[in-house]
Amino acid sequence: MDTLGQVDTRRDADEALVALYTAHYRSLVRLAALLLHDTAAAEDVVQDAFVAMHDSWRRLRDTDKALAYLRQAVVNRSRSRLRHLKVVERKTPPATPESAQIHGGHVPSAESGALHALERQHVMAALRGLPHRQREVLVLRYYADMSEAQIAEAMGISPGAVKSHASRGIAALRQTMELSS
Amino acid sequence: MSPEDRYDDFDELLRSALRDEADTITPAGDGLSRIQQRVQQRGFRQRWMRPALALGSVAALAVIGIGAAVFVSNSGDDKVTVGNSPSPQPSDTAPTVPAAAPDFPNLAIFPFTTAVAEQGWEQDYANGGTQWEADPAQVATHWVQDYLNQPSVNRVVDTTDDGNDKLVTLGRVLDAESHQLFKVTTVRLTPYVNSWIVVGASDPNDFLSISSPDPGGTAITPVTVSGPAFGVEEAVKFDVRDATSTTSYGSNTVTFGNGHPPWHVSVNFNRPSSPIGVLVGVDTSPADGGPSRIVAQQIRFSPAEAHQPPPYFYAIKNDRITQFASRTGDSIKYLTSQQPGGGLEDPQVYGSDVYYLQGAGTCANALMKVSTSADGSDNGDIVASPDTGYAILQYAIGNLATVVFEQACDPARTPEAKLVTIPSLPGANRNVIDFPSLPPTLETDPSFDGAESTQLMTAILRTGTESSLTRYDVYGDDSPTPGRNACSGLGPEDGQPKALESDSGGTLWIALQTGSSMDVVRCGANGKPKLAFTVQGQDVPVDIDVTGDGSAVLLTDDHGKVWRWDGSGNPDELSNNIPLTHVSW
Repeated sequence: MDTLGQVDTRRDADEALVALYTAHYRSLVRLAALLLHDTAAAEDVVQDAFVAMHDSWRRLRDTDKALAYLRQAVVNRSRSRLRHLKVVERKTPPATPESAQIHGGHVPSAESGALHALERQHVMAALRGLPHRQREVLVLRYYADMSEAQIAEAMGISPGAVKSHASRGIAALRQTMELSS
Repeated sequence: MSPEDRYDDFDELLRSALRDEADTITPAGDGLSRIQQRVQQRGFRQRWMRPALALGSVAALAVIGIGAAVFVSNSGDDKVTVGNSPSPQPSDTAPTVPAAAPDFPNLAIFPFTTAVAEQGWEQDYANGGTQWEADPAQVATHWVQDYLNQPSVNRVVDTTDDGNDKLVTLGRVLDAESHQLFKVTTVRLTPYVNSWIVVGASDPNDFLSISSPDPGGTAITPVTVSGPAFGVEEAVKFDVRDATSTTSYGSNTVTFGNGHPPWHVSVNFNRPSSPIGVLVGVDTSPADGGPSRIVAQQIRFSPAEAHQPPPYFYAIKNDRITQFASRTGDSIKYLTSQQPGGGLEDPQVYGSDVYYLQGAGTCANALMKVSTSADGSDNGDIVASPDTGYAILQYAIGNLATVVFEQACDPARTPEAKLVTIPSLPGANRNVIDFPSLPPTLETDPSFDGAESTQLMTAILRTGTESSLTRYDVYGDDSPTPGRNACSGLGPEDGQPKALESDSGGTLWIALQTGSSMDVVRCGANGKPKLAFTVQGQDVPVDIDVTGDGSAVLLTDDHGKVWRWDGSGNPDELSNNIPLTHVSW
């Protein structure tokens, strides 16, 4: 039988889950989708993170800590998912560049001739080609607007490593963009 | 248009590309119900398992004990690991005599250095927390990439068994024309319950090795590291680091090769804050400047070391952050470069960084930091900037937040000052306590109430001619005068508080001006002050800095004199040849 304390904790966890879902679910799915490039997988990852957060509520007991936990869980679980996909990819024939573009949905339409739109597509394509840690740092920095310290916390690495991944990632993106231009 | 011009706004381009991409993503509307359904299912499962867990944990230990025996007898089989022990199941035949816990690896350096720390993770692991600690290749990769900060060493080249241990060899691709993949380090991991623990690392080619000190040996600063010579023009940097954080206590580089005799190098290191450290050696590849060999082993810090004052303190000299010898007050090296605008002041050491204010006396100042291992050419990194129209006057660095006290550049502005809490945790909101007009104001740097404090902070609050020790809840308060006395036993008759600092246990150290002396008192949780030491004279205290364990104190006065107190007796006045008003160690 649950004690009163356990009942209270579970009720708090239920309430926190709803509050955090309302405020952050969409942005967390978007964050995961930017890391995974797959909306359905992103939703799975974020739902996993919410379930784990609910389980860990006894330790968290604070919505700010819980949000930090959720972000960290989303980043880590996205990374695990990508690692799994890489294993699967190794066992399947590589896609042709054309088919990859079609699957990615990034062939510019005939109407879309604007240079900036094309540039953004190139940036996203180049971003997807980066090593996962560099991509994570850049997404957290430029999409989630997180500081170096916050990224370090979310990724479980040192601020120095964040800086290093960011500068390498930016340099690689610039190089790719310059080559493509 | 050149490519450089075209991508001047690269940051903005990246930001807008990510936002545009994100805006196209719309989650399905059933997320909450799917989560709640899964939570409910898990709740049933966990409640079913809970009565069995007490017995199950005993059973699990028994399984581990058996698993270890199986492991030895199947040393060639990768699939037999303690980490894959079956989950505890309800059983009517669970043993009633607890099995002995396995011995924690005594050379552990990552990700846990104690059994208690590992057990904390086990609880999270069981509740869906991070899983990588249970996979030896992932532990080795995390250690090299995150702890050693070597992101280029990112290939798992080989994994082999060595008795109970796993040997994971990591390598990298040479960043030069050949793009050759080569082995950099072989990480040794020992299993413990469900986790794998790094107990050392060696050169896969057996060239670079450490003859002294022994793994797990006690190190006293300066520690002499030696080993057999090899190669041509090798340059190996040895780093003495904390095992539980990425803090570096000190480093030195040795060059050898060309038939030279065995090498040795002396490494000075700061006072460690935990008993277990790591000695790391990184050989640099001349081809691309990246790591070519990494060796590491555990070292233990002498208990005597823990009772010595830190060898260095930090202060401002020639407008640069400078390291000084604690014994004499002599300057040793600059950390920062000469920066345009200058105006450096108020250094505070936190972890392996020195925080400081830059641009003092201007409305464009900022809170900065620089590593204690910087070499004098560093420009520092911005930690916090004041709101527009304000300047940072005081600050405190805490476990999970930075607090700055900002004052309006134009006294007519409202509020005239504010106490701003900037949380480190992602997503957390900052808290602002407005000071509509001054006074009341903060006299000097506030201090969080101990190393674990995330919310309570003490400051010297001046209201007119009176000063008091006021405790703030940096997230919960909105009044500049919350009315909490941080040391109830201290009265006006004891003197005027001029500076304060908390040690890591939360004891408050206060420097008082009495008129005939500077008194330093400590005040614990009971609110009763106790005199630590006295400096006779009419000087006014300016700054106080105390070591984490409260065993040594630095005190400065308004004439720039510095006193060091080593835990008993009278303090020694240092012979610093330039006045120093703000110091930190």
